[in-house]
Amino acid sequence: MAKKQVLVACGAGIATSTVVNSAIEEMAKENKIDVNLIQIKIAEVNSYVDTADLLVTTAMVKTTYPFPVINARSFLTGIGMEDTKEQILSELKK
Amino acid sequence: MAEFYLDKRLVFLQMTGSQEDILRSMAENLVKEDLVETSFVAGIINREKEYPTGLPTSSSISIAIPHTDIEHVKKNAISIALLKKPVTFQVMGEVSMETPVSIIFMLAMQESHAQLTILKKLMDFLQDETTLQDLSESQSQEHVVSLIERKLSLSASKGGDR
Repeated sequence: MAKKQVLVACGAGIATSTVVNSAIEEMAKENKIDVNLIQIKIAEVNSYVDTADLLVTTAMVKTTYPFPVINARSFLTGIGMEDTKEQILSELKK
Repeated sequence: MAEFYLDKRLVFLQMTGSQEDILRSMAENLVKEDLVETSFVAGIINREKEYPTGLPTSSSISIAIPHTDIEHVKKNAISIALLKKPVTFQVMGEVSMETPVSIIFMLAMQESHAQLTILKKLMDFLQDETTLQDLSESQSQEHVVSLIERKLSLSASKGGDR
């Protein structure tokens, strides 16, 4: 299985994406999945359009991308976090 | 771990006004305390419009965590406002979902990774209904400071980098 490139983005690329990034890191480790996590500002996603496999973000996404986009607000609020984790895992396992 | 500045001068009780008035007052206060650049004020207001930070929690209390780019920040700090009446914020990551916010945590951050521990604790805090309730009912700035310091282990982070 090829190593997936996962973009983790928020508005500023410093606050909420840091929390989400670390949560995915832990999750990948637990499931023994090797993943290439890139933490960026949502405005920078375009630079990765050709290489990314997945975008996980707390920001609103107005553009359509060639890869799936998962909303990660639940990592901040705890509401629906297990569902989000499963969504991400199933993408990582593809 | 990086130090985070919190002082009772950064705590507002019974705050009123529009969302923009409140964000402006909080940000201008951070400028006055020399913790951020003057540009932080516009940075916060514009960022909130573009990338809203309202967060519904599992309790009835919604919060917001306005923040902006690192170049506007001189020193890591957190400013807290308890609103007299909830003020409407857009929900983070949603096109048209609003939430009535009662507590605002304004974050001034210089870098990301050093702050992970604080951010994670802040998120734990948001998932803790009892503490949120306690915070929202605070009657003094000192109470807010001691509660936040305890919950985010801010005092333990003083004394420089690990």
